[in-house]
Amino acid sequence: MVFVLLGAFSVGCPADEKPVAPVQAPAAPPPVRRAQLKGLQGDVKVKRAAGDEWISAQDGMPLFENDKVRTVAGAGAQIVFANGSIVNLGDDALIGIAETRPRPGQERTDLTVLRGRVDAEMEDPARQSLSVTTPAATVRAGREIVFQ
Amino acid sequence: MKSSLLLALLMLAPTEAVVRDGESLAEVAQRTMGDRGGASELKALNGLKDNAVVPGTKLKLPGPNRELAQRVLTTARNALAAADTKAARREEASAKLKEAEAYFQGARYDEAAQAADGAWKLVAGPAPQPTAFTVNVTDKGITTVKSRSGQPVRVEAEGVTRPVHPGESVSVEKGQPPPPPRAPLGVPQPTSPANRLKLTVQPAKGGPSPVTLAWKAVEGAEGYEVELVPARGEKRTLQASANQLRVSLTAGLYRWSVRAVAHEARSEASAEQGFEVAEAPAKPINLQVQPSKWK
Repeated sequence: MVFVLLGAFSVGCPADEKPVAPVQAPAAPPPVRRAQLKGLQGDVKVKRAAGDEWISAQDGMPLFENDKVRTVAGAGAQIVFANGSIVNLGDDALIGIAETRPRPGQERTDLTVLRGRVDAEMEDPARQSLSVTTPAATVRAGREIVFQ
Repeated sequence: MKSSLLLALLMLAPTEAVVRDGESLAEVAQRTMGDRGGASELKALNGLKDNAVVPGTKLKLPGPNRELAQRVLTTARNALAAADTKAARREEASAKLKEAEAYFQGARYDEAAQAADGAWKLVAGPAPQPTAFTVNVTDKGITTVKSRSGQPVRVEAEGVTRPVHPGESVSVEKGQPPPPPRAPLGVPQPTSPANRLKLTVQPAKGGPSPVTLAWKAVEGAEGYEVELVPARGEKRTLQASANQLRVSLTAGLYRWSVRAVAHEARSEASAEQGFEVAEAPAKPINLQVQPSKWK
């Protein structure tokens, strides 16, 4: 009797059922464009989030989430964010664009300054906002909104 | 005076009108309000469903708030017409004005005035000052934030947030909260010379004798900045490390004020004081001639 039941609940593939192909991982979403590089002076390099190499920056180059920008001594660049906020990057600086925060609960900010000086300006602070993370602090300016 | 007269006239204005034979609502509006376009307002004000009015019907007329709303609307229309077409708030102001016009047509004059005023403020108000700040990170990770203009920026570290106002700067070390804001520097009080005093200085070999300007010391001040304005000549800004300053001045009238300064902070200037410098007349030379027998 026991054997009969086991046979009835057999787990093998029926003869007419074809094997299913392994499920493919969903494609990574395209990177989100956050800013644009302008007013390049001297040697400015960009490292894409997906790449390992520093490439020479070009005027008008779009910047995406988790991209990094580096300037050497005497170099400089302007980063124009989508909301119109402008950040002037000084020489010998290293910054990240809208970096994914490593710790849960930490909000993503527009800019991470790892080294060097940035001068930020917002023409209409009632409508614009800019948030900057550094190794020691987070700076927020303009409209009080949560970064999306 | 003019406005009170106008208000009095408006108060005396009729509050009702009777529709005459063969008169349309637009004609009633023209007769009573001087504006055919006021028909929609009469319609709204009297709860009429259409423009047909029976002769003899008593119609309620708008009160003095119509005049006020009309004025505010005109001001807003003019401001919008004069505004730069690229002005960031023009579109918003235009929508607000449209809203005001709709309220007006519906005889909701107070709301119309309020909306029109809002539209005017959007285009005629002073442009907000840009917010500018600097963030500097050293190799050791120390972050210095300086607010340069506009709204204060907010610096957060270790769960503590503090505002940084224009002209102020804050340094934050890794793992430390931002330091508490310093108390604002006090304003120095000038003590000498007394206001409007006439000082007489003795001419010396190297020019006039110096005048001493003094004021009460301010706690936390690292120095002082004295602004000296002669009645003739250019303004001078002088630095002092203590609460007094000796300065050689030529004859004339002077005004001066002083402010306390510290690292990244300056107090307000003191109230302006005045004094006059006059050169003492040269001492008379007493010549004594000995009588002599010589002729």
